[in-house]
Amino acid sequence: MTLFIIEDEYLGLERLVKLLGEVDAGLTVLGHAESIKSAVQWLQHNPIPDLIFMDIELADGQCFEIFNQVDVRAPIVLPPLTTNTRCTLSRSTASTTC
Amino acid sequence: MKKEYQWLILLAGVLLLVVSNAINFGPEDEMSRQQKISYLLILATGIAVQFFSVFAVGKWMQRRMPGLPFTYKRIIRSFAISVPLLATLMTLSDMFLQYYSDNPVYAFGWKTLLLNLTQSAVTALYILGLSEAFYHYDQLNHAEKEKDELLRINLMAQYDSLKQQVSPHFLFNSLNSLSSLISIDPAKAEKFVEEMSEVYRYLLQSNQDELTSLGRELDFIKSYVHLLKTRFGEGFQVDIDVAEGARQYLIPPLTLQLLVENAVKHNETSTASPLRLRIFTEGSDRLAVVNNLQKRNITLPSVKVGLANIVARYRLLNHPYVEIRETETEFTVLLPLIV
Repeated sequence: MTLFIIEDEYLGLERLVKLLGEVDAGLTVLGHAESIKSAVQWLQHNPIPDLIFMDIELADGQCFEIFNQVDVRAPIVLPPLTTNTRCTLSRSTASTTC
Repeated sequence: MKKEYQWLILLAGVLLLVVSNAINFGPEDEMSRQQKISYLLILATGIAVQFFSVFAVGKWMQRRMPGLPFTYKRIIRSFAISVPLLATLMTLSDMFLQYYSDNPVYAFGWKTLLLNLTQSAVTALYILGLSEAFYHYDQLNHAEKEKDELLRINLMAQYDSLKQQVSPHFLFNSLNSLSSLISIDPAKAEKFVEEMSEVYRYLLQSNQDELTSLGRELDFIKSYVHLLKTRFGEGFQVDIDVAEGARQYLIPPLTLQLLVENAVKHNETSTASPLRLRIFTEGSDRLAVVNNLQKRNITLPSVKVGLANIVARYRLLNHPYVEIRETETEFTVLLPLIV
């Protein structure tokens, strides 16, 4: 199974990769991106991964902007939203206001 | 005081003087009743013109040189303009009256000129005095209102900062980083915990003082930045360059924390395009906090509230010279260093 990780904090990235390795050695991480810019770049020039792990807060904005710029056809895993995250997601525009 | 009321008070003064003149008329005067009335009307007009023109000079000077420190300069200049003006008006007024009442009241000469000047000086003095009294009353009201507003902003800022102390965001973000560090690099995790406790120690006790030393605030910022750097890696670079001697200056606590937090919240922090923040002393009296501007892709309720709080706090401390500069590439905040 191929994976792509969109996370700007290096610590989080390393930890996730480590955890994934412990869960199933057959998982392949194709790459990672730290920002909307680099994520869009990668997604436009690479085959669709089987699964994408996506953090909401990225280096240059929130992940939802990615959907405005590229058509994402893979299932996405988002971090759990805490009760303090008062975000309203608008599905039609894939935008969010917090 | 409303402008209309001020002019009304002046008008009352004019009427008072006219009435006092009218009372002065005795049965031995040779003027007819009609002449007396015309006389009084001309007198009233003359006095009104004098009062109003001096008052107007006073008001005009208040617009040109506003503020408490300029009071004496203002009064002297208004006086210097008003006295000749009044003397001229008085002369004209007297000439009219003479023509009208056929009283040889007026004889041109040094004595009458001196008399006129003296009367002008006295009139200018009390009308300008009245004008300045109104002015200072208005200024006082204005200052009171401003003070109340600043106190309110300060209270809000304190409240916000208190909320921040228990705000989950920073806490959970830090714990998140810590949690990753434990398995990846235990030594760094230990250091992280130490810095984190330093940060919270400062956060929880700093709200009690109005001012703290720059040295202590910088020590706190170093710990705070350590946490942020652990989180963002090379995407966040900080350079603090403050001379030892400057550490004794005073600063409202958590001012720098707010500026750093704003910078990180609103700018891109990627390793490809890192956020560079610098804190350094400029001259002997200012602290600069500069970061390269690379705004993030969001619409957050902005920087403005936090910055407004900082500006208000400094104004309350009587050091209102906070400067904020935003260019295309850089964002700068300059804070006055308090001795």
